[in-house]
Amino acid sequence: MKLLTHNMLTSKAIKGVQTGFPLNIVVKKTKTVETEFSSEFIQRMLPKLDWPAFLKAAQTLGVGSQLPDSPPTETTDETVLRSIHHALVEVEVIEGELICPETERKFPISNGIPNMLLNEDEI
Amino acid sequence: MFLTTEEPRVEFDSMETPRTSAVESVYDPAEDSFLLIDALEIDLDRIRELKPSICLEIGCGSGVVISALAKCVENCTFLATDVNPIAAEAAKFTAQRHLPEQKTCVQTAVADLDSCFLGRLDSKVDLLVCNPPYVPTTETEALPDDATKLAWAGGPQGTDLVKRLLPRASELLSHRGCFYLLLLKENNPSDVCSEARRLGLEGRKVIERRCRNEHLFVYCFSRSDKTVKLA
Ligand SMILES: C[S@@+](CC[C@H](N)C(=O)[O-])C[C@H]1O[C@@H](n2cnc3c(N)ncnc32)[C@H](O)[C@@H]1O
Repeated sequence: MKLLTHNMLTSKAIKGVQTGFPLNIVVKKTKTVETEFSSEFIQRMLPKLDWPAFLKAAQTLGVGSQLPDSPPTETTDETVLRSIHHALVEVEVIEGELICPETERKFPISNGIPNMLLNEDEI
Repeated sequence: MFLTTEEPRVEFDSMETPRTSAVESVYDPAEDSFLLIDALEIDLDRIRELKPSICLEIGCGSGVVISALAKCVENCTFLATDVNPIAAEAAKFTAQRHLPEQKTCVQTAVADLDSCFLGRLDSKVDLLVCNPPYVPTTETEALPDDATKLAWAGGPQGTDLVKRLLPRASELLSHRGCFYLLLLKENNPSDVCSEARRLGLEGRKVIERRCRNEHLFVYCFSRSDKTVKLA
C-alpha cells in the first residue's frame, strides 16, 4: 500500500462511522522502490489529495520531513515535487495494519495489500 | 493463422494482453476479459484524451484488464478491488510483471465493490471498469460460499452486482468520466441502460461478440448532464 492509496482509503462503510478517514497506520514492514518521476503525474494527483492526511501518514512512515505544510502551488520547484513523489509512490507498506479512527477496527495489510472486507454485522 | 518464427508485430497503439498465472480460485482471463480489453482498445484515443487521473477496476480477478490499461495510459493512478484476496494478490503480481518496475502504479485492495474508498473518490474517477459476475443463477446458487463461484454467479438475470454498482458509478464518475461494463445478452443490456439513465448515466454500446454459447457486450456509460456540471 502506497501512501497515494492510503489517501483514498476509508472505513466509512462500517455502520455508524461518519468519515472513517484518515485511517491510522501501524507499520511492520516497508519497502522502497524507485519509480520514474513525472511532475505531470504529481500535479494531477495534488488536487485529489487530502494534504493533512498525507502529511500525517508520511510522518508515520518517517518520510515526511521534506514535505511542505500546505500543498504546493504551481510555482513549487522540482525538489519539493520530488520529495512528494518519494513519499506518495515510492514507499510502500508491505506488512502492517490500518485502524479506523472512529471504531479502532483493524484492517490487515499483507504482501502490500490492505484487506478492507467487513463482516455482514458491521455494515 | 499460419505459424511463423518471427515475433508477432506489436503495433504501437495496440493493447498488449498481459500474461497471467493460473491460480486456483482466481478467474482465468476468458473471452469476456478479452472483449473488455478490446473495447478499451477501441476507445483508447478517447480515453487518452480524457487525461484520466484515477482509474478504478471493480472485480479485477487476475488483473489482466487493469494491467493492459495501465501500460497504455500515462500519468494515472490505477486502483483495483476484488472480494477475493487471492485475486487481489494475483492482480498485483500481473501488474508487476506486465509493467516496468519504475512504472508500476496499480494498487489493489480486498474489498466489496468500492466500499474501501467510500466518500473519498466521489466525482474523482475518470475511468471505471468492471467485468462482473454476470451468469444468471438462482439466488441460492449466487450465495457467496466459495471464491470460484463469486467470479461468475450473478443472481437472477446475472445483474446482482451490476445493480449495486450502477448507483456507485453515478457517484464515482468525474464529470467527463467513463464507465466500461461488460454485459451478457441475458442481463438485458437495455434494462441496464434504462436503470443507468435514471441515475443520470447514458449508455453506449462499444462492442459485442458471440463467443461459444455467450453473446457478450461492452457498454460505456458517462454522465448525461456533462454540460450542466461544467457550469
Ligand atoms: C468475471 S470475473 C472478472 C475478472 C477480471 N476482471 C477479468 O476480466 O478477467 C469477476 C470478478 O469479480 C470479483 N467480485 C465478485 N463480487 C465482487 C464484489 N462484490 N466486489 C468486488 N469484486 C467482486 C470476483 O472475485 C472476480 O474476480
